[in-house]
Amino acid sequence: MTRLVLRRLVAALPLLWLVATLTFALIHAAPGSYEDQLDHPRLTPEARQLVRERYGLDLPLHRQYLRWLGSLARGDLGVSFLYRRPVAEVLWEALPATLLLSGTALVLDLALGLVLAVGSVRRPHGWLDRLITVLALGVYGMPTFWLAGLAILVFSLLLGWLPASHMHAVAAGQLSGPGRFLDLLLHLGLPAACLGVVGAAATARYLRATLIEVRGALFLRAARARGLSERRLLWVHALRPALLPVVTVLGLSLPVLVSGSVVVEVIFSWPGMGRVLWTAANARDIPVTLATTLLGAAAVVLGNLAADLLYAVVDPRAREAP
Amino acid sequence: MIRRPSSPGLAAGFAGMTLLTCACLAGPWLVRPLPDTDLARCRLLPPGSRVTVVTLEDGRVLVSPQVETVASMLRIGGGARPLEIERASVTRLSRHRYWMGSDRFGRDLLRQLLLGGRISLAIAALAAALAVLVGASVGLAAASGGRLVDGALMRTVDALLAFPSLLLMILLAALFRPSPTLLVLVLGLSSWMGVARLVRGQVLSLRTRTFVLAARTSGSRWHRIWLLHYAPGLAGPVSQDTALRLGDLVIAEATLSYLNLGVPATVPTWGSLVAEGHGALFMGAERFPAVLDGWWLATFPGLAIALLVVSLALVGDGIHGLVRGSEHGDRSEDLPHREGELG
Repeated sequence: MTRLVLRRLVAALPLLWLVATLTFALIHAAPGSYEDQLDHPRLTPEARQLVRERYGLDLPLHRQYLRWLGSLARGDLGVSFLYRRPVAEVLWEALPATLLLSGTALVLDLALGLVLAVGSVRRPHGWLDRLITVLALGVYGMPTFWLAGLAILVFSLLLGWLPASHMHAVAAGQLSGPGRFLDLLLHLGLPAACLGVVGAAATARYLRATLIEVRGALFLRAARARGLSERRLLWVHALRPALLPVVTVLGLSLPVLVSGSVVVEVIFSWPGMGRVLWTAANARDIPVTLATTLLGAAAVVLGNLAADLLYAVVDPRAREAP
Repeated sequence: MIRRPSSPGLAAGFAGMTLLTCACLAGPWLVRPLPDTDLARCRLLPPGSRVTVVTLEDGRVLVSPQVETVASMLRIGGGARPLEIERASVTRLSRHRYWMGSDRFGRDLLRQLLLGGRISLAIAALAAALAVLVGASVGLAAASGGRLVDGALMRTVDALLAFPSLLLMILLAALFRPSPTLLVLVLGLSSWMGVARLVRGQVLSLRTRTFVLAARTSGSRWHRIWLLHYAPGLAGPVSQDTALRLGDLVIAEATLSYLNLGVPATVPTWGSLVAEGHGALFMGAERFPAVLDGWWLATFPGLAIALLVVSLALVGDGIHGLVRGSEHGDRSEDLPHREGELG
């Protein structure tokens, strides 16, 4: 197992290098450069030269590339144009909020998706199945940002049940521990529900299809012949193989977990990575945009690795394969 | 024995897709344009409102929801202060109905929706075409090239799949000036990898089938095998994949436009229309006392997106059912796809 992990990690390194090189190339292919940022009328030529030397802008492109790669390897992501602070610091502060939101949404996604799929497979083409299928298809088609707007309109503007934005109320600083926690939960409600419900629709659709495929398998017929209850058959015997593709999906959703769902964070003013990225992109804050993209790519690689490892845990057949 | 399988989902999806596309294409003729004039009297009218278009002798055009005749005068209300005009100076009176209401500037939402749909659809369709073209070429090259070519191409595909596409689009939007062309390129070039994998896998599995071996042993040339055996075998899976991919692309384009990172703000698309609607809605909500005017502005474009994506999903699932049916003799359950989430 350890060897597998190590081998996959080493194999992931060239991938990350490729992604980093590609982003570097993109940055330099784009019109406008770092130097244009220095185009300030009050900047004297000497000062400009100093900055150019300091940031290595006077070096040839390949030297700049090596320098950039070197600092990247040391974990130095540069300084944000917008915040005038190290990029790593900005992202590090936004990470917990994103992990909280995406983690809650992921749990909701899986739990709701599982219940819906099992509920509809209990009697395929029955009324419950049809209802769930139609609902899941409808939600699957809705853009997340639209659903989020609708949720704000109904639950915070019309009914006034849940707050529409931010992570805490303005006066949250004066609240006691439990009060503060409740405040956080209330603010978490709408964004997590939006992300979770949209994900659950896709999970339910996927899981239903695989469950129905598994239902016809011989081992289930054998289990039924042994006199197992339908409930046990469905929840234990059919669900285990049907969850295999879900594990892959889970791995694929890790990048979303880290980079955050940009739209939802923007709409609900959630102070996470997605919002930082959006602000940076709109303000042409290249270092932050770049770092987030790289981080996202790293998350994809790690997510795939995690999915493969989980796969080996859930599916004994995958362990024997080379 | 050929049995024509019935697939109500496929039919419904195809109908929805065709209807929406035709409506968008015929948009400018379906909904008459309002005269290019001050529409301030028609701001934020709810769906179904009727307005009167008054053309005057001197060429001026006035549009208002409240026009009534008082003696020999025409009273035009709806604005800050009503206007009285001689009945005789009016050359033409006509009616216009806002089926989906009007926006903050008095423009017809239905017309905006149909015009925006053309751009949204065109971007998604061109991007999908680009993805299929690049993906199929790479997939075929990998499948028919040697081991080395195959390995190199597929490792590249893996590397590109590691690039989070929404983040890539945001990065590109931050670097380059957003335009429809850039959007097509970005969306298309970040979604061909799935097609390449699919095509390669299909060709590799078709190659071992008996009918291909038979064709090869009986001396068929390669182009004959490709045309008669590979192409039909690819058509089903690729068109299923394309239908679902198109839905993803519609949502991706709408998401980028919503985030103000897609097409320039002056070009209406479904995403930017929803963004505009949310703007009007939340601006009203911040006033005191809060007004919730313009709920229709975000609702209808969102419904249009949902309708299109659902139709495409039905088409994709339906094709999947047909392909499976033709291979296994019976139509099995639909297997939807799921890619990394966008947005």
